[in-house]
Amino acid sequence: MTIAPHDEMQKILEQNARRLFAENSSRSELEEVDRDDGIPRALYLRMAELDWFRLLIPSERGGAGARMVDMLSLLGEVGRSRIPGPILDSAVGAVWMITRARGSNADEWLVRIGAAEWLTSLVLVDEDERWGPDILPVTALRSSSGYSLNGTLGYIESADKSDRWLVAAQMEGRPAKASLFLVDPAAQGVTVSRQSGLGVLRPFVVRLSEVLLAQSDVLGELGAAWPLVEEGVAVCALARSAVGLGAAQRTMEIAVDYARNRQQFGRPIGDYQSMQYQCTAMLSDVQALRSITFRAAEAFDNNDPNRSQLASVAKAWSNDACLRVARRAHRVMGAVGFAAEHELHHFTEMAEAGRANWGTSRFHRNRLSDAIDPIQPALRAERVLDQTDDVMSSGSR
Amino acid sequence: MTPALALGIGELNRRQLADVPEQAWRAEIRDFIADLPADFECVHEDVGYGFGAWSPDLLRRIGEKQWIGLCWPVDAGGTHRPVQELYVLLQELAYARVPAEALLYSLAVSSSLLRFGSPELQRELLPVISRGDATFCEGLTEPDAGSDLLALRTRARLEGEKWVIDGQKIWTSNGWAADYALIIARTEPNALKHQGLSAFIIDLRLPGVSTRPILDMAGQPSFSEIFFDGVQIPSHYLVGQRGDGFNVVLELLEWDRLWARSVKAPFLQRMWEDLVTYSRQTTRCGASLWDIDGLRDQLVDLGVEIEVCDSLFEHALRRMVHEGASAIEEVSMAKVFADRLGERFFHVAQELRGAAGQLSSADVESDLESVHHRIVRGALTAHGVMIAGGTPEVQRAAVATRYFGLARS
Repeated sequence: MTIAPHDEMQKILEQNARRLFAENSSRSELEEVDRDDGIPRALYLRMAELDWFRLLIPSERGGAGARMVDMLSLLGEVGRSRIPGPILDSAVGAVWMITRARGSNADEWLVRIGAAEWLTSLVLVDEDERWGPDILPVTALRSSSGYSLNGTLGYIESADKSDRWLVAAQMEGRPAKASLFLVDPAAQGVTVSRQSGLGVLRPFVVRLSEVLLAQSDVLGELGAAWPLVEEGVAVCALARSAVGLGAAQRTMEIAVDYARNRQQFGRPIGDYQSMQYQCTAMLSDVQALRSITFRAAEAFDNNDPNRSQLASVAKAWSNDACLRVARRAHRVMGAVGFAAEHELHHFTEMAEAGRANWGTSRFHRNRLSDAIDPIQPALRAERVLDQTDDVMSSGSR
Repeated sequence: MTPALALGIGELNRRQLADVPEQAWRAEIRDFIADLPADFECVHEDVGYGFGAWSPDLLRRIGEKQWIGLCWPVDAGGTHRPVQELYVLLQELAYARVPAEALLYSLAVSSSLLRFGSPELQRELLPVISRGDATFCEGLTEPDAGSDLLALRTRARLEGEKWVIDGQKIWTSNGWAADYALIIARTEPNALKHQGLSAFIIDLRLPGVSTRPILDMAGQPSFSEIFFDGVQIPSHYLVGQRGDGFNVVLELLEWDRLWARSVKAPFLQRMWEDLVTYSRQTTRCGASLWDIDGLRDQLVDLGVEIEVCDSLFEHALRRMVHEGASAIEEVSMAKVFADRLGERFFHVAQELRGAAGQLSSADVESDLESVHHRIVRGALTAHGVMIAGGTPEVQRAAVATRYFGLARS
């Protein structure tokens, strides 16, 4: 066994992150962006100075060469301190996909993303739909000078403030061929519109209308990006579980601390077994969240062939577990936990939003059942086709 | 065992547990399993832990492989392999449904003997245990001492060179079938509740010992009463210091909660694969059960939870091995998690059986008979497994006080 669940590297990252996020300058910037609905750029730059945006970039390509388990330890702190913005998209998803694609510009992109100079949002798949390389929401058409992108996709984190978008597109006229493009949001034909995000999420709908890109904007091999996209989604789902873990851990601490101190009937409510039950049930979920999240992270570090499925296991489970922790915390806290002035509700909102961010439990269950039974998606597709045939034939009559 | 388990549960993840050349170790275990005869002499069926039936015959075969002393020190007659190998061994046996329940108790009791037993007692018993020539049970609970274990009243008094034991144990798993019991008894009647207790090994074939099997609700004699009426045992059969029985029991229970539930995941994983097959083969309302979204979702959820359960035990084991930390809180909560998963698992399994759920066994197509039988047993034994080793309520109360420092109610 090479990796202990909590080795020195992870402890140091956690401690440093907790310290940085608690500093006065960080706190005041976070309060400011909360009011202005922005993202904490200055804080990101300080995080970048600590190498946190290049943690997952291999050292031979200018990165910190850290493991997924290290990154997830850090993301736990991001959840605990409710840091907004495209950290997950940029430092995990984008870096993961770009480092695994063979592309002429990849190294330059990594340098900029690793320095947090290019905060990168991900525009990948519609998680409410069946998915595959042939049904991506964005399409790419080959034009005289390069490519023209068209399509619309929602729930894109901080698309208004990010410097680049990594966009998955299916090649028009070539079903099952997906490519990844790096898009400058300042390009002609790009529009974004705000969605009202829950918790710290800042989601946007992005529209690409004949956005012209050059050959040099393609990541890796044209038409061969689908496995990368699929794994990118899995990595982001796992990262999201780690953010949820940090938030759930903090939720539990708030509630247990309250149970120790809050007096009713002349004694701390934590003396009562019913309250102790709630506390230990939270602990059970937090422990299980940690063990499954880190198991999946190790699978990525070890290039385990089941890594993508394990990420879905982690996310499918963490969605519900984070909510259970939130509910139990509210039971312990009573009315004050429901008050806007108390911090608990921020974590509750994170749990509610987190369940749908990077895949609901149903989405991930479907990924898993498709993996268990590969005939299944084909059958489903057949059913859909049958219905389509009916509609078309009746229409033509 | 299938080479790659459907949800990635199992070897691919557990591989990371071991520094050892694990594939070779697994291959050796699988060869052993493959060479076993199809039918064993078993005393009773699996009681819901997943260790399989109680079979002294199988225990001797494992003893021949020198696997009972797998992790013991060499001078104790063992091979001093890393504890991760034991974990792998138990998981492989459970997945293969090998009737290895007796092995669990041999491991638990030998662990206590290695830690607390006198050299004389070790010399006497360890070789016998190592060969698989003796079976064990754990005599803890008494009629008036269940969750309040320390209220126990069985007494031991020293008379010359002998300890004389009087009292009664109840709900002792396999008490009537085992050769020896590790028990806890009161040696200092006037001491405080958790002091004045001592642990002993008792040969259950001695005069003055009588046992009575108790049928469990699933129809198996899985536990029993044991009566001690002036039983005389040699003085060196005391385990640990006189008055230190409480600590012996604490360790024994930690072992019990970790190892007895460590096979929940492979046990349920195997059963889950059966359910997936069953749900694909079984048609209801014109569709296979697997194609009914609600049922498939529940099945996949179970697969997810089995993976989570397995990761919890791996996490606890790592803490114990790597950080040398007592993982007693992790283990308590993992025990509760595993037992609750067992309940949910068989709840869904019964749902899958549909109307056949009202039958105590198959009464259907013969090739699915064993699936039905296993589901019924699992659904019934899940109630007992939840209680065994301490109820969830007792576990939670202990974690609330020890981990969170909340007041004992």
